[in-house]
Amino acid sequence: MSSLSDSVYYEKSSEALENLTESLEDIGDQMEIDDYDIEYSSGVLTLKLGAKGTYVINKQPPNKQIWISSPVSGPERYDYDLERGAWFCRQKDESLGTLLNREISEALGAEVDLPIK
Amino acid sequence: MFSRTLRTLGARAAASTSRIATAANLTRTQGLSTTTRLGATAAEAVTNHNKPTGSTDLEKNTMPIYLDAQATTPLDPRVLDAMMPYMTESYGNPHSRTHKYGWETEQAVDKAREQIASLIGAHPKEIIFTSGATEANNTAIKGVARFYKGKKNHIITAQTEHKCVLDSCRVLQEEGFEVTYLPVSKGGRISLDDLKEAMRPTTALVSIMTVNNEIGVVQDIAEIGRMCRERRIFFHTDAAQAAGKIPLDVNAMNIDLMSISGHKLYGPKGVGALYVRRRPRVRLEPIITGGGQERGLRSGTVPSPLVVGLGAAAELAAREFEYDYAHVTKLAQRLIGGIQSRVTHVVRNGDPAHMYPGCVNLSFSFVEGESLLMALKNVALSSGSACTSASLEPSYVLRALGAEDDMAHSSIRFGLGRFTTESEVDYVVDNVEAHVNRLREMSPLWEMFQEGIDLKTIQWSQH
Repeated sequence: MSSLSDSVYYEKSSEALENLTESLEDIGDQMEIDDYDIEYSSGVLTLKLGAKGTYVINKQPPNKQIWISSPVSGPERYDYDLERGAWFCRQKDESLGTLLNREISEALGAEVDLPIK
Repeated sequence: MFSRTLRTLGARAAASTSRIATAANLTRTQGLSTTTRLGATAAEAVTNHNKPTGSTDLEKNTMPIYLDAQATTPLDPRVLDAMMPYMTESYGNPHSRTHKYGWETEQAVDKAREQIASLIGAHPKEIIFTSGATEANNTAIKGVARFYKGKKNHIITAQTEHKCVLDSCRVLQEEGFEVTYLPVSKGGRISLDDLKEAMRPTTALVSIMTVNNEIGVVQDIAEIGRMCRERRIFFHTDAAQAAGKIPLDVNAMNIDLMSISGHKLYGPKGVGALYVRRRPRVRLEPIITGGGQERGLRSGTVPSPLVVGLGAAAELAAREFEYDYAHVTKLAQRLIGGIQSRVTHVVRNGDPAHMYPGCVNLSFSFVEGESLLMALKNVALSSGSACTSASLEPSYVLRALGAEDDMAHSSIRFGLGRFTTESEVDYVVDNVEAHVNRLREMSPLWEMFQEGIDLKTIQWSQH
């Protein structure tokens, strides 16, 4: 269980998801992909990539985590690491940013640099 | 059930909406609960109040002729038909995801979203429901300004905007924003050169209403939109008086935000919509926060019956657009032609080349507006805007046009709509002629004018 306080969790998770939403929206506008849709409401970010599948990234306040459902790698849970200033999953010790950058670049066929570490 | 009753109530002037017009009037005269008991006598009562005799006695159960379409419009019975199921059996909360009550209501809300989106050429995801155009204006202006606060701090609007827009800008000024209020020409339009000069790199938003509620003048929205898009400034327009009445296309006109009002469109009161563009994305800070409904931009349970009504009204407006426009144009010509041919010294406020015909604002020289309104007892009219009637000042919109105080005080606004008939217009013209002449007989200014005295030379004694 994370030792993060409620307010720090709220701040960090909101920041992460809002920045992600904004940059994904910009990418969508620039790249004009078919059936690309992004919606962020009530703490749930839904990214539709048409035939490539749908990502759902959401806050999980009771556990103070961010959860992801990826059409490529399946589900994963991330905790915030205060020292490294990023969201990491326990088993593979990979950050959310690394996973998303890799998978979304792959899906879109172009290198993306998301503002999340 | 309700629509079958409406069909038995006889016909009035407007062809395709004949039965609807009768029903609407009868609904007003008799009250909704008694519509099922109406018969021949009621039909007579309706035609009775069209006596062009200039008589001022008000028959007990009849209401005045309604010519105040800019204040509000009657609910089209077909809209009521669409709303009824959601006020009776389908009472589910559209956000309830776990049962059929919620699902069917959510479906109806989604359909309404599509109907409104297609009226203005938008995508359904870009429509947010609000409690009306006032809330939509507040959300658009305060929301966009506050979101971009750090980087952009300037807003441009016009002096003739609706009070809710002007007040939102005033509030933002108190928060540290700079606001430019563009003046208007004598005809009521803003100058595009003024707008270009006012635009800065730090301008976040331009807000100009499409059709003015007091004088009916139509701004050059497409050109303003183009200028804003060039400079990447967001363009908001208050289309409360325009949606469903003049053709609107948010993409062709480069509109980023648009406010729509339900009750100006023969829809219910208490509902409106805000169009928020998604590509390029318009970000805004919501003014009502909570459960994150309406994409987080307007929390709160969406009022399904009202929203269904708004959707139905939008679809009707889109479908009957040409008929409605031809109808109000014909009536406006009849009204203005009739009055100007029989009464002298009448000025139409606003640029006649860029007007919505359904809003006719006339100033009658040497006659005070309130006294003419009182005299026209059998006609429901307005002098200046309904929103400013509480104050005793002359209309700020007319003052912005450069009208002299006395002309602003003597203005009357005639609002024509889908359910207005030719005989109602004829009655009004007759009464206007009779009462304006009567009031002028009593007016010392008129007497002096007739004698050739230049009124501007009068020395008014101060008390």
